[in-house]
Amino acid sequence: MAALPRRIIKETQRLMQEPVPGISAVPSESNARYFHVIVTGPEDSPFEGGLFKLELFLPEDYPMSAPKVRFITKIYHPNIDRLGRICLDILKDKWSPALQIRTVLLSIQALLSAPNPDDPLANDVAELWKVNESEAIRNAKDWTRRYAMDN
Amino acid sequence: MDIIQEGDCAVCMLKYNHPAKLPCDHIFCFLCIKGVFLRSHTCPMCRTPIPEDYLDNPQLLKEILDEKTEIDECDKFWWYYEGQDGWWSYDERSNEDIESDFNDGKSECKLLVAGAVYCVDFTQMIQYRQSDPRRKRKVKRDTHTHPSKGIAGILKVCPKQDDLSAENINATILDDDIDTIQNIHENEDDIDNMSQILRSMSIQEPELSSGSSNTEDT
Ligand SMILES: [Zn+2]
Ligand SMILES: [Zn+2]
Repeated sequence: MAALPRRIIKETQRLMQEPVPGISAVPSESNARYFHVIVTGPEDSPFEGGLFKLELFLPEDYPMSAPKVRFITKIYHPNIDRLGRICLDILKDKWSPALQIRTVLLSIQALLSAPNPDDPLANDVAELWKVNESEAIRNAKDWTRRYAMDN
Repeated sequence: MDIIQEGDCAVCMLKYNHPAKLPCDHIFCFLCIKGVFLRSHTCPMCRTPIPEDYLDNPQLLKEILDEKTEIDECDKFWWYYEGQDGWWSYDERSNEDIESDFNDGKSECKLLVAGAVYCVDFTQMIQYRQSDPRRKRKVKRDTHTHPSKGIAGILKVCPKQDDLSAENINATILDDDIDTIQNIHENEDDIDNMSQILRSMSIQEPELSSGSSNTEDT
């Protein structure tokens, strides 16, 4: 089979040895380019207390192109849509091969702490976030309780 | 002497392999810059634009000349691929990977070079691009003293004696090595299919035959 580029091996080892606080990323046993990710909802955010599952995939030409990341756990967030797709510039046109899995996960964690309704992906959520922030936050907490706390 | 940054190349995360410096002073492996250049034309560290003609006039850092001559064991083999009018040596890192797969009796070796996956097929002694198997080149294994045009598309230069002390050496890069990137399509809906693609990749065959063709080749 195709050898795994040394960079991916290195990044994986580092993720295991020095994990990012509040984030776990474990490669799948059957595909070393596919990671099971769990992000803890940041403190003082409407996602606090939740455990959010994501999937992260390193395309064949990684790091020349960005990892593909998606939330699996439902989340009420103006920059994350129904399908779990994330609106984050570094995953699109602002990607640079000097960024890493670690940086991407940190950025996603930061996005949970600081939703940005002016650059929305989930339009109705963003709309409510702008016109009635407290209700939007209530919804977000409610979804966190409902979808990210069960196991 | 050399002003190579401490640590590793930020793109491949390995020791610099043919280090080259961009106008913004950031240093990467030449092949890493080439991979970046074919896509974004900006420095991976600071996003300063890379000049259009950079690949033709890279600022290669000194140690490059010594690399191949350092290896003096006469029995050492080297791998070469065919260019328009001669053979190119593979870079050291690729050479090591090919040689080790070859010695392990594998039928092929996959390489990630400048952001594209290449496959060296030992049964036919060819190299092709995984995303476009029609782009074939002959390869061969020969003594490391075999004449070649240069390493990995960096044309060999024979500097005059007094140039040897120069910190940077300008080499010429031949273009027959630079493939156009055809397979980069920023598909917004890519991620929709992601789960399916992932599933078909990580689980074995059965799922694959689900009608829609997610995978591009074969
Ligand atoms: Zn490099
Ligand atoms: Zn730079």
